[in-house]
Amino acid sequence: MDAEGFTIVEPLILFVVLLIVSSGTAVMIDSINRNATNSRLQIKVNEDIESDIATVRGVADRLTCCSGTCVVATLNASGLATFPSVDSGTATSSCATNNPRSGAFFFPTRDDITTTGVIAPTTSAREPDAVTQVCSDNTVTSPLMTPLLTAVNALPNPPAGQNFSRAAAIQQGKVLRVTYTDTINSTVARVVNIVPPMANFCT
Amino acid sequence: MLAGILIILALVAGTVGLTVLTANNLLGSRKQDTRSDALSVAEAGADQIISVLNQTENRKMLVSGQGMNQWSTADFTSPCRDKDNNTPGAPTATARNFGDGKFRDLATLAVNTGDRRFALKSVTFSAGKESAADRRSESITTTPAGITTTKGSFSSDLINLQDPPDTPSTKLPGYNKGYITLTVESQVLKNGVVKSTATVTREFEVLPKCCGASLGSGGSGGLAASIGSDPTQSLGGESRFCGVEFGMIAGLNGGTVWSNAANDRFTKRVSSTKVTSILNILGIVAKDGDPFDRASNRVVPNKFSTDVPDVCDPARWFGSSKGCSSSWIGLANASPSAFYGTKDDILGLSISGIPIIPSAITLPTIGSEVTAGKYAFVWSSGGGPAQRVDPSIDGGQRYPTLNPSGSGGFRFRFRTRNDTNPPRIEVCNASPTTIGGTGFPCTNTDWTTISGTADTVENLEDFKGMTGGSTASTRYRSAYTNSTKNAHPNWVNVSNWQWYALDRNNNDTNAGNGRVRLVSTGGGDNNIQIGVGGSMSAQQNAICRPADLSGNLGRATLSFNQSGSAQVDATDELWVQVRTGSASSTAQCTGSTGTNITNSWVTVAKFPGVNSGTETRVVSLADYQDSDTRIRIINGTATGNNETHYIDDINLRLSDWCEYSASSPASAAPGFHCLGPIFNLDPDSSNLTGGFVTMDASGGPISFYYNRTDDLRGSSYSTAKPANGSSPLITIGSSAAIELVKCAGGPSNTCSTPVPETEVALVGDPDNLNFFGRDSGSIQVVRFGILPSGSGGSATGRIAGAWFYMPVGYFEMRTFGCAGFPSASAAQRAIFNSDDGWIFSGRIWTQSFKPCGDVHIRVPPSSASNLGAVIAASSLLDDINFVPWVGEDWVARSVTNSRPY
Repeated sequence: MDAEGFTIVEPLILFVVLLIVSSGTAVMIDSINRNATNSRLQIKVNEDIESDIATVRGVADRLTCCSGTCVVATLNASGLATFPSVDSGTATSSCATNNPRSGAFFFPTRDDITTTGVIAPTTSAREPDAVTQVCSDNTVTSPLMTPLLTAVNALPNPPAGQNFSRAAAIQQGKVLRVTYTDTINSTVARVVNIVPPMANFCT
Repeated sequence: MLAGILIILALVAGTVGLTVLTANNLLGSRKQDTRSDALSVAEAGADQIISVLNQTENRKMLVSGQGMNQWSTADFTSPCRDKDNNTPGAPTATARNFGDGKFRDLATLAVNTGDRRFALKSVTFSAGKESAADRRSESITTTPAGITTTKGSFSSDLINLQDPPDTPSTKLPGYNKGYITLTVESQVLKNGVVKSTATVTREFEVLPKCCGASLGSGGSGGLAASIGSDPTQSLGGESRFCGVEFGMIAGLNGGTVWSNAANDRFTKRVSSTKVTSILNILGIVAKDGDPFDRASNRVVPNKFSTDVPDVCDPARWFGSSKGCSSSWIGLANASPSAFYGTKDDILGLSISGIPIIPSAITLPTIGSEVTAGKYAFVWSSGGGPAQRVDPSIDGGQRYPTLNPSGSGGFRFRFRTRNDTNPPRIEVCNASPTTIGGTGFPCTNTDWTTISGTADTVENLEDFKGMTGGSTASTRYRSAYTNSTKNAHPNWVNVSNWQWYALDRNNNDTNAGNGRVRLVSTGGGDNNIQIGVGGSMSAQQNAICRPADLSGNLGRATLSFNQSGSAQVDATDELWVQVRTGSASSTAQCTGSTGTNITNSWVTVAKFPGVNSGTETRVVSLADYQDSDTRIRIINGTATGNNETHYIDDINLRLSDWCEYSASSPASAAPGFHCLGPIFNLDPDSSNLTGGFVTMDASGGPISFYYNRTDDLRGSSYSTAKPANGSSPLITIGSSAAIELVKCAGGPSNTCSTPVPETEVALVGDPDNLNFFGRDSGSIQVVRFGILPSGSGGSATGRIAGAWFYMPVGYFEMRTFGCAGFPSASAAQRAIFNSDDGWIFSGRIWTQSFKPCGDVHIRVPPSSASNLGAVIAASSLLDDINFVPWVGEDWVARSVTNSRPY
């Protein structure tokens, strides 16, 4: 006589199926988690690279040759360069201003008469003439671009907790090429060309 | 069970869906990353392109407006020039190749390679008309296929440093800026497959600036150097003066420029095939900050004083052109048939479009006998020139004067020779009658050296011991005859008598009319008196003696002391007259009333009467070398009773007035140096042709000096005939001309090859022909004239390689169309309008400058890069400095990248 209800097999089958499905689901959930993590990492890498590009551009903005020698200026708490300038009270300085937001920040405004020796690597003791010589070098060893390259290379690489690396190199024509590599995927993620404002103030 | 299965299926479906979703999300992130990469590549490509175009040699491409399909061959020559007229270099192939629109590797720029590529797909050049607020109102857009769209009429001239209207020169970058817009397409590839593309369009601001300078005030003398520069006025820290050309400089010591009398044109050669207008005339102003302001120093018509001319005033116009005509032809003070400049010229706004750049620089001084300078030549002690300017002898005023003589007009030829030891300068007065001609040549025996070192030969007649002859024929036996050659070698006897009086009465004892008499002044001394005891008709009474000036062309001066009775006034003139080629040895100094009194004599000097004290008169006989030269001093004007002239100490001197030097002031090169003569080439009759001087510099450069402080000649605008000390230093009229020639080989009697325009000294160095004036003092007037013949490069008669440096000079350049000169024919006008139709190639530094007629001046390269030669050391201190290039170019920058200028 047949009795109605579950047989012992049916729950077992269901359990097995459930077990299998659960296993599959667990795998998928793991995949989901990994995808989500990777997506977040990818986005963060992009964000970090964008942030780093802005940092590098900020360094490039501070490149000046107003003293006759090209340097990346150090800024004080007020956002002004720490080198002497006419508007900061040094009467003989060839730098008109120490405000990096001024157009007069980049090129020597005159000859500093206290400078008597030749300004390396040029052959002139006159700041405007020396910078003119520096500007004429468009090679990958440009003395105008070298301080910028040095300053960029001094930035943390990679920055703490970030998944990219940065490689900078001077290109012909006063261009700094920065190549970003995604260290998670070991792929080149971004290549940017940066022309410092100083280059536009060349003669 | 079923419910369980459904739950399981739902779980599976949800999980799968979630998995797909997150996978897609990751894929999307990576795609986005690739997309960002492609955008970065496009932007990097745009930066790369602008970086290349910003290189000095490529900057013309920023504003060219050329179709991209023309970039490979178009003329993108930089407008910048250095002191040698060189450009910064040819545009690079890299820049030109961007025009092909092909994809290039971001790293190597190699075509169709690399995983990150970019291509320039279109370029838009844009700018606005002068002063237009919309700086994009005119534009051209081009693609690799060529120009696609145009808006307005874009040209590179719209992006310039021209002054804002009606304001002084400021030359600030940015006033007339433009834009260049690049559309760049990029590709990012993986394993050769394009994974992503992007297209960006970026606009860059194009700013005009001075060549060789950074962005900044570009001083140019009109704006104070920008120490702590005002950002509202300057785009950058550059405060050096923009490079200028020092070929044409006016305004020295407060001078001015007139251009209304000229159809003037000023050009420079920038390559073997290209000629452009010169960049500037430099207007020297009193101090830094002063403009050459067009108010006090403006271009001024000479006839209407210094007021700004009213161009609508009918009094200024001839015939039907009266009033405010749009044709602007026929100013009343000009010849009716000639065109005398543009409206701006007449209004005083320009000198035929050549900007006058104001500057406060101090040029090096020339120097004098009492002040140090860069260009003054120190005459050798004891030599002819030194003796001629010795103040203790005749006031140091024994300068040569070259007067027109005879109906043929005055003709004189200088030539320098370096085939002799020492080299020398010679003169001859038998030059051709036409420019470039070879007729009437000098012969080998015609030449006289005027650059020797011999002492002056004296022929002093003080009338001591002189005795009179018979009264029937007034004549005197001098104590000094030419038998004593050493003492008075050049006076000549006439029939055993020496001096003859030409007396209207033919008898010095007849009463009633003024007589010529030998009068004792006591102590055994005598003098000659003209007009004793009565009145005289003009040119009837004289004292006369022959002289042998053979071989002394250019070397003779006559001096005498002039005094007079109390009744004499300035209108009672004494004249000095000369005659050569006498019919007989005695005829010209003797004769009866009316005979030989007035015929065929040339008046070479006129002096006013003297009634108090004694004046020493000096007369140049530079034009005479005849062995039978008659010289007489005669009453030039009629006199009343007792208006008597006294004459004593007549001295005929022979001396040189040039020197050769193995090195020259401001130059290590040898040269020939001469006391500046008065060139009076305007004949005293309107129906005669003016004089003609040929300077043959084959043996070395010639310099004429008018720089002594006690040399006050040339202060008058009008020429006396004959010339006197006030006459312009150079007067050229009635088609007279001076030409400069140079021939290879030995000395030539007929050299007619013009100096080529390429043979020019660096600015500030002596050139083939130089005229140096005084640093200060009274004005020195020069009315220079040139009438070239022939066309273009084969033209003769025009001058190249000359330099006039006259700090107090009034320099007038005359040619076709100027009063006294013929109007240019149609053919000559065509020559004038051609690039190679210049009449004068050289530099003019003067106080005031006036071109007159169809003046086309070719100005040689004269950039500021040779500042050490042209700028006084005091002007090189601190921030007074010039960039070493001339011209204007451009720089492009991304406004978003370069802050906030």
